[in-house]
Amino acid sequence: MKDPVKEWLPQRVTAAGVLACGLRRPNGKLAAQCADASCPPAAMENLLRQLEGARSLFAAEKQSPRWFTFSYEHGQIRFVARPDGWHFAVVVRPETDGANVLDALCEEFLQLPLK
Amino acid sequence: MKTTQHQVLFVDDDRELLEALSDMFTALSEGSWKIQTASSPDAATEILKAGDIKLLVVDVNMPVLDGIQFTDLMHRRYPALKIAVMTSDVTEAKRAAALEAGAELFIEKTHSPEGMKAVFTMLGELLNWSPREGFQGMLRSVSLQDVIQMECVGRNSSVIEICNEHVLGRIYIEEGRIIHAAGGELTGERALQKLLSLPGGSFELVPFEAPPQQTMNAPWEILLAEATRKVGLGEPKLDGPQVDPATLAPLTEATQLVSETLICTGDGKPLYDVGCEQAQGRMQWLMAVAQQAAIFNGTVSLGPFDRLEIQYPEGRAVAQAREDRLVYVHIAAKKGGPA
Repeated sequence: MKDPVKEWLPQRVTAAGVLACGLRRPNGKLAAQCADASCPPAAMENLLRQLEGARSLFAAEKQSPRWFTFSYEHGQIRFVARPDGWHFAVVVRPETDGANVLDALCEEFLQLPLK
Repeated sequence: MKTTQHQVLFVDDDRELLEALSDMFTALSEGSWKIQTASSPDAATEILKAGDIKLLVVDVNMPVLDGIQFTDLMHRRYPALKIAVMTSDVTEAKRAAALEAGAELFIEKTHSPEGMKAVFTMLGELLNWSPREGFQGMLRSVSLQDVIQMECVGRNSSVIEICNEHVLGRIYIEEGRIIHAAGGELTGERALQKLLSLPGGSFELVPFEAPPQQTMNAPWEILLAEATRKVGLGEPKLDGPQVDPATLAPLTEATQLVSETLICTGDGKPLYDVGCEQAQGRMQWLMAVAQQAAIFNGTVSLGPFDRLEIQYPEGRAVAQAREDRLVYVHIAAKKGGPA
């Protein structure tokens, strides 16, 4: 894929209920795509940084997570990290089309040909 | 058509009572029960060796070996044998001990004709409990929670029907999610908690049918954990319904198993801990999860935090950290099964 930020990321916010999503490149650069004013790009980028820090929660576990989801009353935050350093996060409203395809979305991201 | 005659053995050191029971129950059953009696566990053991007895009714207060010890021994020796314990001195402690020892029924001894009829009806129900389609559960080795858990981790769809003398309830599981429960006038989580706190009864697993409404959408781990917590906070201790282990074979092939469960009060008092190697460390971790959730919520406002779900290469975990409770459940994938 030439540039996932331009090609893949914008398509990820089209499903109903997706508020925003973001990518972190292996070099640390961030990109966010937003579909709802409640989660502007700056907030999404900040969230990506915080999620990266949250990975330390799992440092003592026997396995590293494939992904994890923080669920709230009005939304869910899904985070998935690839071994090559790419990270992806998405914020969705619960019980929406966007929430229903989170697992498939994560699998897609993990399989994505990225450099 | 020839009907099967049930063989029932009464064990009591009161010979007069044995005679009265034998006469009364033979008459009430109109000959469909063959009553045998024994005035000591020793004599009863000899009768049981023949292998014809379907129901054993034991008095608690007997010299040398009391009825509860005898129940425990016979339950181990004859797992398929149905056992009822009778006593004139009913206490909750004796009742719990009897069920723990393997009895399906704990009943008060009575000498009145009306009382005898009631006992006869209860024993008749016990005799007639038998597997239909799927399996029937009763009170003993596999709890209702175990069966719900196995249905959920197996991502099955089914309805569990629960009944005892007073309550008929249903728990609806669709593709491994508990979506509805109804018991008496209760529905939703309260019904689920009520059904799980029942001190005894039977349950059956029947094919799934859509419920009249969907009242629950939380993960099953949380729903079961919350029910356990409620019971731990004062409801009577659960006496696990039993099933014939042979009928559980398809379910025990589930590809995932709950490997760790920790439930604590909000201030860290452990209520339930199974498989948790470092409960204190896990509690601190749950508090760290809550702090992290609050940080995220400061960035994107999403309302009160409910839970963290983690997907591992082999298994998954659910963590809940609220003011009043801390819950952690880890489900490990068995070798060759899906994560």
